[in-house]
Amino acid sequence: MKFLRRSQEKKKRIKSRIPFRLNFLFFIVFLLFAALILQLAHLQIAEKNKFDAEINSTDTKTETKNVQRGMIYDSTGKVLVANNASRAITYTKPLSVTTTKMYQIANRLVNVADFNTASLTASNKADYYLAVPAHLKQVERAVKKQSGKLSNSELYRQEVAYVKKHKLTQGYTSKQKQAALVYSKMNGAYALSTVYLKYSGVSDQEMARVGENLTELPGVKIGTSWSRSYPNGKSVKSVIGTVTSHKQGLPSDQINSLLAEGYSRDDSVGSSYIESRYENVLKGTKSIITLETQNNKITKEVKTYGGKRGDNLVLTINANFQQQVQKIIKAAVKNNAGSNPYLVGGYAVVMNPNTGGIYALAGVSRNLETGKISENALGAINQSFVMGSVVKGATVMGGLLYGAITPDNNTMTDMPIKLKGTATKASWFNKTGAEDMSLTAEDALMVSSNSYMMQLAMREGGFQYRENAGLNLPTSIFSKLRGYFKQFGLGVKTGIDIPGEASGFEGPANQKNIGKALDLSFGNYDSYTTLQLAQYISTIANGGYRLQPHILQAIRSSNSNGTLGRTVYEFEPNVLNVVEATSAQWNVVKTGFWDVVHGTSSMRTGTVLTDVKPAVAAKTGTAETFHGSTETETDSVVTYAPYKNPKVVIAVAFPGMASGNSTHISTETPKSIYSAFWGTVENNK
Amino acid sequence: MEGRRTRSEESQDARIDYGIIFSVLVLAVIGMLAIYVAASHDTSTTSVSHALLMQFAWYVIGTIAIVVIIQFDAEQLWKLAPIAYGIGITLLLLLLIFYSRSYFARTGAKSWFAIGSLTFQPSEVMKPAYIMMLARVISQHNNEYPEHHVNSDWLLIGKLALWSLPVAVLLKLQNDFGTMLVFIAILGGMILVSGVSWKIIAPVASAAVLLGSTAILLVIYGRSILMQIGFKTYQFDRIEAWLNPSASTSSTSYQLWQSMKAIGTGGLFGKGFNVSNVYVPVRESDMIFSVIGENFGFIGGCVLIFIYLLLIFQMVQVTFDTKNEFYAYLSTGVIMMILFHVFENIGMSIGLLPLTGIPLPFVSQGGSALIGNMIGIGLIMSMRYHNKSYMFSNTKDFH
Repeated sequence: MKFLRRSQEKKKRIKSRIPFRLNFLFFIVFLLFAALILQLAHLQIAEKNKFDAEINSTDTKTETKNVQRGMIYDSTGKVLVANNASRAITYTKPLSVTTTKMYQIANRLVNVADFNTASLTASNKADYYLAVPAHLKQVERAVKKQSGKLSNSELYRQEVAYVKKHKLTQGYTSKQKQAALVYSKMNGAYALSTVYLKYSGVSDQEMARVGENLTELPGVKIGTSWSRSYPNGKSVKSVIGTVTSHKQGLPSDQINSLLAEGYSRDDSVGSSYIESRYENVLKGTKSIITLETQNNKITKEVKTYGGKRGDNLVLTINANFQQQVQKIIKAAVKNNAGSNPYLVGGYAVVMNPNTGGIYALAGVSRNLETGKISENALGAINQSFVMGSVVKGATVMGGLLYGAITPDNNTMTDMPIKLKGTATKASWFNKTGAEDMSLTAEDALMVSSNSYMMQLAMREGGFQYRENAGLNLPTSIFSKLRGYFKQFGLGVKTGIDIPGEASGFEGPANQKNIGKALDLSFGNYDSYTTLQLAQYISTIANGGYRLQPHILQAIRSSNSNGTLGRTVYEFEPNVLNVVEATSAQWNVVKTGFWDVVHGTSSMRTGTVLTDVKPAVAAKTGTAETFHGSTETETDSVVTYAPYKNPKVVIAVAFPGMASGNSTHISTETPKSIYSAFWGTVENNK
Repeated sequence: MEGRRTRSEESQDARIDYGIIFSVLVLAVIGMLAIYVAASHDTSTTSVSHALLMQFAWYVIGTIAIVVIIQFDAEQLWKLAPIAYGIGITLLLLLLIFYSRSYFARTGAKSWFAIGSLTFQPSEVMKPAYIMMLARVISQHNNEYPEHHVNSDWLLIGKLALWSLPVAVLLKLQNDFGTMLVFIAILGGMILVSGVSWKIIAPVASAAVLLGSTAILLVIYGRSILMQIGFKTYQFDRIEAWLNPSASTSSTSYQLWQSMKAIGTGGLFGKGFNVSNVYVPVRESDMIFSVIGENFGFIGGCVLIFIYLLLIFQMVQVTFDTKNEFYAYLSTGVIMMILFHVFENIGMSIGLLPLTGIPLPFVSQGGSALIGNMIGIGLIMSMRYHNKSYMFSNTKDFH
C-alpha cells in the first residue's frame, strides 16, 4: 500500500500542475492582450495627429486628353492637310489599378466590341498569359529553377521568353487574342494617361454596347481619334511629311524623350519634314484635368485647362503652283528619259529672293532599272550633285573680293590650261586653243569660260601660269575658293525649316588632288543641293543677302468655327550673312548673268530664255559626271527675274543626262516654270 | 446549494454556459456591423445584403454545429477524436487534388474547395479535430506515465510531433504558412498545459525567442546570408513592411499602412459608425479590425479585446469547474486557437506583427473559419453540459 499511496501522492502532485499551467497560460493571454492595447493606445492616442495629417494630405495628379492637331494651309489659304475625326474607344488608366483588374476589364471589353489583332505580338500574348497570378507563379518557379537568382526585370523578361518558348498561349481563341491586345495597351499606359484601345471603325452597335457596360469597365470611354487627311491630294506629303498613326505609336528612336514631354505611347506625332519640324506648334496642348487625391482616392476633379487644338501652319508654298512645277519636272524627266538612259531625276526650287520663302519645291527620282518615276520633292534639299558652271558667279565674285581682278581690269585670255602631268583642261568652245580669245569677267560668265575661272583660281593661289609648268598651289586654295562659295550658300546648310537637309560633299583638299582646285573653280569638284543653288542665286539677285529659305509663312490659331484665326507668329526674313561687295563688283556678276541670256555672243548659253518676259538673268551649268564608265552630265540652271527688281529665283538640276546632249532641258524647264509662276503666283497676289 | 439533484432534474439553464454564448453573440454582432461597414464602402465585392446574409447563414450553421457537439460527452469525444482527425487529414489530402483553381490563382494557396460560389477551407475544421486528437494523446500518455520525467516528457513531445507531422506536411503543400502558425501555437499551448517539465519548456522557449530575434536581425542586416539558404524576397518584404510600414506605401506595405492609418485616425472614440475615409484592402475579412478601430476608436478596440479576454476567462473557468484532464487539454487547445487568431490578427492590423492571412475569430467574414471556431466553442460548451459527475466534487484535483 505504501507504493500505492506514494504513487497517489505523486499523482496528486503531478496533476496539480494543470491549474498552475492554466493560470500561467491565462497570464500569457493577459500579457499579450495588454501588448495589443498598448500598441493600440500608441496608434490611436499618441500618434493620432500624425495619422490625421497623413490622410488629410492631398495629392494632386493630372489627367490629360488629346486635342485636334493643327491643320496646314498653303500661301493662298487652301487646306493642304486636315483632320478626320473617328469614333474611338479609349482607356484612361485609373490610379493603382491591378493587373488582375485590367485583365478582367480586357476580357469584358472584348465581349462588347471587336478589335483587330493584326498588331498583336507574341510578347503581348505572353504578358496577357502572365497576368493570371497562377500562371505567373508557375512560370516563375520554372524560370527560377533554370536560371536561379535574377533581377526583377530580367526575371520577367525570361518569364515572357519561357511562355513563348513553351507555346503556352497556343490555341488562344480569337477573343482571347483580342483581350491580349487590349490588355497590352492598358498595361502599357501610365496611370491617368489616356490610350486608344480602338482608334477607328467603332460601329454604332459597339458604341451602344460599350456605353451600356461602362460601369463594368472602369477607365474605358468612348472618345475621338484624329487622323490626317489631304483634301488637295496626297502629293504634298512629299514635302509636308507624315504623322505616325495611333497604331504605330511614337517613333521608337524618340520614344523616351517624347514620353517625358507628356506624350502617350499611341499619340500621333509628326515623323517627318514639316509635320516633324513644327510638331510643337501642330500638336496643341492637351486638356488637363487636375485630380485631387486623398489616400489614392480621387476627391475632386477640376478641368484646369480646356486644352487647345494645335495651331495651324500657313506655308509659303502655293499649292497650285507647286503642283504645276511638280508636273513640269515630272514631264521633263519623263520626256527625256528615252534618250538619256541614266537620267536619275530632276529637281527644282522656286524661291522669293527678298524673303527666302519657298514658292515651290519639286522633284522626281527615276529608278534606272525599272524606269519608274516617283515624286521626290525633298530630293531638292537632301540630294547633292556636282552642278557644273552655275557656280561661276561665286568664282568671279571671289576673284573680285580677293582682288585678283577688279571691275575695271579683268580681261584675260581664254586658252586651254596645260600643266605638267595632267590632262589639258579647257573651255567648251576652245578645247584645242584654236579659239583663244580675250574675255572680260562678264564675257567669261556669258560664254561660260572654264579657262578664265581656272586662271582666277591660280591667281588667288599665287601661281603664275605658264604652259607646261608644274602646278604649284598651296592646299589653302581649296578653303579660299570654298570660303567664297559658302558666302553664297554653296557647300553649307541653307537653314531651311525642313529636317534632313544635306550640305553636299567636298572632295579631298590635299596636294595630291591640288589639280582639282581648278575643277572646283568651275563647279566640277564639290557637290551641292538644288536648294543651295537657289540660295546662291537668291543672294546674287538681292545683292548679297544670304537668306534662310523657309517653308513656314505664319502660325495662326483657329477660330471656333475652324477657320484660320489670329496670327501667332509670322516668319521674318532671316539674313544668314552678307556678301560684302561694292555695287560695281555686283554689276560684274549680274551683267555676266544678264549676258548669258541677252548677250551679244552667239556662244552665250541661255538663248532659250531670251524671250522670257519679264526678262531674266541666268547661269547654266553642265557638269561632267560618270555613270559607271559611261560619261554623263548634270544639267543645271540658276536664274532670277525680273532682272531689275528680282521677285523670284529658280534653280533646277537634272543629274545623269547624256553627255553632250542638246535637249536644253535645264533652260526649257525654268522657262515653263516662269510661265507658271507669272500665271499663278503673282496674278493671285 | 440545495442538495443533490439528478442530471435529468437539472435545469437546462445550469448546464448551458450563457456567459460564453453572450460573448460570442456580442462578437457576432460586432462582426456583422463591421462587415456592413466594409461592404458598403467597397464596391468591388458583392452587395451589402448578400454579404450580411451569407455571414448570418454561417452563424446559423455554426450554431447547429455547437448544438450537435454539445450532445457528445467526454467519453464520446475521446472516441471521436481519431475519427475527426482522420476525416480532417482526408479532406486536406483531397484538397491537394481538388483545390479551387480560381482561389489558387488569386491567392497562391491551395487551401479552398469551391462548389459554385460556396467555398470551404478544410484546414479550419482541421483545427478542432487536431485539438481533440492531441488532447487524447496527452491524456493517454499522462495516464501511462503518471510521473513526469524529462525522458517521458520527450516521449510525449515526440508523440505530439508525430501527430502534427501530417498536418504540417499537408499545410506546407498547400502553401498556407499562416494556418501552420495556428497549429504551432495550439501545439505549444497544449505542451505547456500537459505538464512537460520547465527543464524542457524553458530552454526551448528561450531558444525560439533567440532564433526569432536572430532571424529579424538577419533580415535587417544580413539578408544575403538568408538568400543563400533559400529565402525569397517576398518573405523579406513582409518583414520589411512590418518594420517600416510607411517606407514603401505603394507596394509591399500598402495594406498594412492603410490599416494603420485607418486605425490611427480612429482616435480615442472613433469616427462613428459607418464612417470610412481610408481604404484598406480585404478589410471585410483579414483586415476587419481596421474597420472597428476606425469606427469605434481606442474604446471600441479595448472593448473588443476585453470581450475576447472574457471569453477566454470563461473557458478557463469551465476547465477549472469540470476538473477533467481530457477537457483541460481540449480547452487549452481551443483557447490557444482563439488567442493566436486574435493576437496575430489584431497585432498585424496595428503593425505589431508581420502580415499573415489570419481572420479575427467570430468577426471576420468567412464561413470556414467561423465554423472551426464555433466547433471549438461547442467543445467547451459540451464540457459544462456534461459536467455532472464532478459538479459537486470538492477535490481541487483534475481526474
